[in-house]
Amino acid sequence: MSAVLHAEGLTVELPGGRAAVDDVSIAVGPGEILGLVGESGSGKTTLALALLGYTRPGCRIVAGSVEAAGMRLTGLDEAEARSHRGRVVSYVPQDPASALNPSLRVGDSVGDVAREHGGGAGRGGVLQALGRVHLPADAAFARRYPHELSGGQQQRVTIATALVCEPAVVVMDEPTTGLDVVTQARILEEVERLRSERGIAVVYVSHDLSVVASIADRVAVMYEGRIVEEGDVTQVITRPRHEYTQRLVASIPRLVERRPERTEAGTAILSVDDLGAAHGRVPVVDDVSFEVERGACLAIVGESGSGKTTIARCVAGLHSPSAGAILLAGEQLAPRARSRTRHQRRQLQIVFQNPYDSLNPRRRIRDEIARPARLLRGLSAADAEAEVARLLERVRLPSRLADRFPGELSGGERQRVAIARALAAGPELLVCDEITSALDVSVQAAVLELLQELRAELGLSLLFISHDLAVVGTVADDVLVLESGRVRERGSTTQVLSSPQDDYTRRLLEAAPSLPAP
Amino acid sequence: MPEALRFARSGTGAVGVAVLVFVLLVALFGPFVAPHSPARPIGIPYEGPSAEALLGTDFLGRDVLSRVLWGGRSVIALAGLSVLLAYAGGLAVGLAAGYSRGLLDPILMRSADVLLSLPALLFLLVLVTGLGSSRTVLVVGVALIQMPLVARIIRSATQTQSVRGFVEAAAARGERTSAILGRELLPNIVPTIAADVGLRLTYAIILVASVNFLGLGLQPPDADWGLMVSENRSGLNLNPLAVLAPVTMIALLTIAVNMVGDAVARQQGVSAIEVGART
Repeated sequence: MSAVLHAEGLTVELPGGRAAVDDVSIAVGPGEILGLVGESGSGKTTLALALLGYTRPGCRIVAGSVEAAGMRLTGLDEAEARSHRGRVVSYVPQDPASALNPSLRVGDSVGDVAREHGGGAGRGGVLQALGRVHLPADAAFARRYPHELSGGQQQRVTIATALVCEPAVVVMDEPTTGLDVVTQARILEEVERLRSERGIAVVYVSHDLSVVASIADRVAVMYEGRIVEEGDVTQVITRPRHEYTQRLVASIPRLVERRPERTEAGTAILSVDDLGAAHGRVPVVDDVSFEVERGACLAIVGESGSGKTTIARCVAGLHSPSAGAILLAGEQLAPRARSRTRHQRRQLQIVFQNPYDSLNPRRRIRDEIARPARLLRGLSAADAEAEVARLLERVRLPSRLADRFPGELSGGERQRVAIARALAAGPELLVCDEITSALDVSVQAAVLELLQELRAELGLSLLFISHDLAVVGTVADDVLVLESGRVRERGSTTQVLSSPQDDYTRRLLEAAPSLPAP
Repeated sequence: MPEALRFARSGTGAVGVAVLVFVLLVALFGPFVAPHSPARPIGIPYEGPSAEALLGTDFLGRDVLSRVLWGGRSVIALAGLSVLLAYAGGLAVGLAAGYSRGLLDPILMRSADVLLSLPALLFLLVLVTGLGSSRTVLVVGVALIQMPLVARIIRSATQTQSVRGFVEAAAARGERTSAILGRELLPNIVPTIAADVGLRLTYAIILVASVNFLGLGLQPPDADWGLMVSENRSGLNLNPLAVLAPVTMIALLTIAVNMVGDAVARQQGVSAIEVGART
């Protein structure tokens, strides 16, 4: 098979002179999907861009070459290189919401690329490109703005843009990260169809090995700028050779995991009765009831927009419910956190989804963790200081981090700090709102492990919000499946995941990418 | 180097600080080293530079150098005080409006718009005419003109920050509004303030100088850089230094303030930007 994309000894240096991509060689044949896997900072995106002969400002391709469809892409001047991009090889970026110009109609976004390359496809060409990725191929849709589209539709538009000039190679950089499983499954289907129908070579970049496993033919594992392992998907997953790959494979949560069944039912620490909530006039949660037993973990699962985060915010006192009651240890909670008693605020703590956002960038880790201890437990400065040291150790962070700012920490470290901050209040119930969805798979595994430890050692109860069934399978005792603000199914995790009763649950399960059994 | 001064490590920051310190030293200690009285004539008007008067004389024959050395205090004090006052009001209004989800925001901001709709100079002139020209009136007037602008900028910065996770986390543990504003939001809008303060100060200096130029602010024989420009402009071809010297000082002051503001904003901004770019 002759390769349509060919990179040889590619090396990209960062401004400091460190090599982000170090002597990488890959080859992709027509109609082949190469998965490129690695954690944050492994150089995936830098490599993906370099495959188009492009680097971020300050970075330089210092050695090696890239050839696509017989055309050399490296060592060209900018104008020449630009004329190949989009026509010979094109790029689908990670975050469709920021990749599309918000002030440009989607038809124009697609059309501009065609015009730039003298395609002159005209309106017909644009509509055809939209139709090709299963978007409505009509003028009304082309006149919409990106904000009028769902996340999945936005990503289809970026794919349509990448395909409009019929390139031989498409480089996709985490195209489904941040989309929910159902949307992700549809996008993956789309990619699969495009390669089989049009014989396009695809480089599919992701940190998620299970996603890559479900779509790629071959997989290349990237670690610290180098390709440490490459081969057939099944082979890499079932018999990983490199130590990093082995860790990566081991850290992926399996959909249904053996777990000891709980024997007796405890008392409820949290009960939610007939909860209703709305954003403005739009109802998002309707008549939802559930209980979290002491020491247990209840997961709420659903797609984005299903209302699961709103439920978490209602429980945490950040969103006022429109109906129903929330009871903590039998006492009714006020809708607003501020109106709750100090004891109630202590008992119930929340950890947020995005660790890049939930820590004050201007506050040292020490102060961030000490604050709830002082405010809610009334500890003295000296006692709070000792508590910080204890909590950092508890979440397995070195004590020297206490003097750092959040910007100096990795995503996983930040999420541990956020957990430590919640623990500083001495809670009995922890509300975890998608706490691993912004993290790499390997980091996610470590955070989940920490949660399990905390549950065992502190007897914490958890309300665990997630869109990821595999993650839920590893942590939760019971599951509540939510669709459009209504409960579709509930039961023990094993029961719901292995024999789902509801159609919607079944669809969620089918959409979830998983690894072939080892 | 203490953290607060790290901005001075950048080229812009270092030059800005050096120039600013120079101008402030001139303004503060100038009167002690001035060779002549700023008020008494020492020669004929608009004389060129000589050994006696290094920068020549002004329209009344007074020593330009001595008047430059005396004339910085009023500009810096008036402009500085008015910006301080504008920020005291603007920060409170902007934070409250930006964090509030109720009626407070539209009420505060529409009032600010009313103030904004008045032409700045006209507003000042009316104020000076009505209340007489005193330093207090000047400071309050300039502050009132700047306050709505400050409030708008602080409000939008506050709005951006107030939806972030750490603010929600503070709300969830039941922090008082004052603690949320002061501990969580304020430190995160410092880059905005740093970038804005230079601009405000420049604008205040120009406003004060303009009012002085129109003869409605400080009254002769006060030495003031703004006043000097207006007094001596008729003799520009006879002794250009009488205008150029105070103009240069005003320019150095505003440029230095802006450079420092930029450097602070950039340094604060960089450390505040999340290392959130995922590969």
